[in-house]
Amino acid sequence: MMILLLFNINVNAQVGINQKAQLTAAFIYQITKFTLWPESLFISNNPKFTICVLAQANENLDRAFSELESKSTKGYQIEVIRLNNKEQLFELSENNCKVLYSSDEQWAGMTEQQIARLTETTLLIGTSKRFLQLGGMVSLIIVDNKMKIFISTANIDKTPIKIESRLKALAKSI
Amino acid sequence: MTNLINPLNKLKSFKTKLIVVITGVTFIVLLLATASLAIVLNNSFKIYLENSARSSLANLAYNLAPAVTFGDSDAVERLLSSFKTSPDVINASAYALNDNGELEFIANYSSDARFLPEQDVRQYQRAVYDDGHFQLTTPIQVDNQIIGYLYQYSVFSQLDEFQLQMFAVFSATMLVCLLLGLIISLYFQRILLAPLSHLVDATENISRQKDYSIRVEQQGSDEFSALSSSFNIMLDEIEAHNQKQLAIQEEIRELNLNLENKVSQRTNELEGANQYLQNAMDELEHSHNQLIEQEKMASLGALVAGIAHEINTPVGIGVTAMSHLSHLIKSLNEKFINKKITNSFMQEFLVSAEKGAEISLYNLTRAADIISSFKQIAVDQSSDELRTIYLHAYLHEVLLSLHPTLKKFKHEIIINCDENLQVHCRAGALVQIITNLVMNSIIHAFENIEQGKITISAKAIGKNIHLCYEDNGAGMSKEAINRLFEPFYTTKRGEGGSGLGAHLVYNLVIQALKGQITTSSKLGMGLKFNIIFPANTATKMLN
Repeated sequence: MMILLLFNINVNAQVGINQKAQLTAAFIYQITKFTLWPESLFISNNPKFTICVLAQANENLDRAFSELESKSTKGYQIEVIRLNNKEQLFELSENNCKVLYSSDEQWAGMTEQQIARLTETTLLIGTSKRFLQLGGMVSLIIVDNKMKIFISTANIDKTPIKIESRLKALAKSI
Repeated sequence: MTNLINPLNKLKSFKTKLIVVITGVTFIVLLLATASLAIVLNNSFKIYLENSARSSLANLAYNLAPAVTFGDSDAVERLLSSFKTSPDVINASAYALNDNGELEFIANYSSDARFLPEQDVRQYQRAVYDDGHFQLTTPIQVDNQIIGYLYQYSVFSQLDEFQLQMFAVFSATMLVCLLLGLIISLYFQRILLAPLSHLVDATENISRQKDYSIRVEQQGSDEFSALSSSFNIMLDEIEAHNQKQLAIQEEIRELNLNLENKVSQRTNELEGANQYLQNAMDELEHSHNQLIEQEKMASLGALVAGIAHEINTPVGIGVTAMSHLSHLIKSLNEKFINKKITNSFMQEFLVSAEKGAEISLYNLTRAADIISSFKQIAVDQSSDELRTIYLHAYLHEVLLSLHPTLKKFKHEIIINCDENLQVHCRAGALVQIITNLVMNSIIHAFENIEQGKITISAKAIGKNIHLCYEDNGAGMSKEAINRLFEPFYTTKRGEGGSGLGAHLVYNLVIQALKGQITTSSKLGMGLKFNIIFPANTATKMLN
């Protein structure tokens, strides 16, 4: 079980580069279970749950996310789309990404309009508090060698996407 | 049921029984109802507590899901610490389910550090109660997938408090209900039992005063009123019956008075009749004794006649011999005066005189013997003296006394008796017994028999003499045998029979010989008398 793998790594081991990628993928996968998207977003021709990864090329990250494609969430098979730049993101059809994991570097170039467009349909997950300050919703940050979930309640509340309160209770709000 | 009724019967009054029954039934019903209600409430409260616990546990498990999912044991512990507000919870533990299906402990909350669940907590998914403790486990799920379990160990202190409160409330309720039941039963007992009390008072008054005119006061129209009405009707009948009874008693009293007078009158009459009968009996007895005396005299007369007849011949021969001797002496005297005595004459005279003297002596001796023998029998017959006799010889002498009568017939009399058998008895009675029996045989048994046979057997058996008199005469019917010893019973009335012969024999055997007599006979088969009387002396062999 990914969850338990995640659990074990998280509790008992130091977070390394490879492990960080795995944890990130696992955290994102689990976060999807505690997040609610508007039903209207699932009424489309795409029968898959798409996770978009916007980051510089990273073998570990790619491998970790590719493992998620064997899983499903919310009743949909997971599809991972690897994006190298934001242009590729916006070239995707609307409502395509349910989750966007973005590196700080890629996220820094986003305009407010772009961010606002994304927040309508996509759960935005980053890796720093700055990501949240720049309109992101959730950040996975290593604290004391443990990956912690940070959320921006203000940013989330502006969107139709809802994070379950039990996850909010676990996460740290900014 | 019997065990329940028996103690009730020991209670004195119906009132007490009624109160005891009502109170008892109320108590039992209340107890049953209260117990049932307590059980139902207890179970309901337990289910409520369980559901409440399960609900709160499920709620916590729901909230724990992210923390378990992300392996945040601090968050798990923080969430579990919410049980601090539930003092009943002793322990709450969260477990994660690993890939092998095993539970891995994450964190726990415990108000009692000593307690740690040792077993697989999944077994408590169905709540377990143990000695006031409650264990429950609920799964932690995410997306319909079990990722762990949340276990809770708690004490149902609320249940204890609830039970205590329930007991207090029910006890108070029962007490109040019982008091109310008692008050109500006391109140209604007075109302309900008033007619019964009237009935009881009336019966007691009637019983004490014997006054059947008393009536029970009737109230209302219930069963007691109907009972009172029926009782009054019964009293009417009893009163009427009593009056009738009194009238009958009065009538009986009067009748008794009359009856007493009549009884007195009849008693006087009966006494007169009785006196008349007594006189008649006295006369009859006198006549009876006279007849017996006459019978005795007749018997004695016959004896005298026999004696006269027996001694008549020897005396006559003696007289003839002496007369012939006198004639010879007279001839001798004439020849002596005329001096014509010759030797041949003298020789002839002496021969004739000697023979005459011998004949006279022989016959006179025989007459003397006869008289001597008859004298003793005559004495015996006229006296009741006890003396010792040789029975064989005495029987011969008795028969000899009867010889004048017997010689007229050809009847044979045989005596079978030991010649040495001695008997100490009233011999006169024996003479009269044998005489009467022989005369009865001759007169009655051998009336149409020319040559009869009489057998008299006597022997000593023990201290008694068994005398058997038997003839082969006409015999007697059963009816005649039954009446044989009755006084004045005779088949020859008007032909010389007095009817006292057998009666005399019976009396002599019973009274004089102190013995017993029985008879047996059949018509044409003779008659047999068995006489048993005490010998008084043993048989002695004469040497």
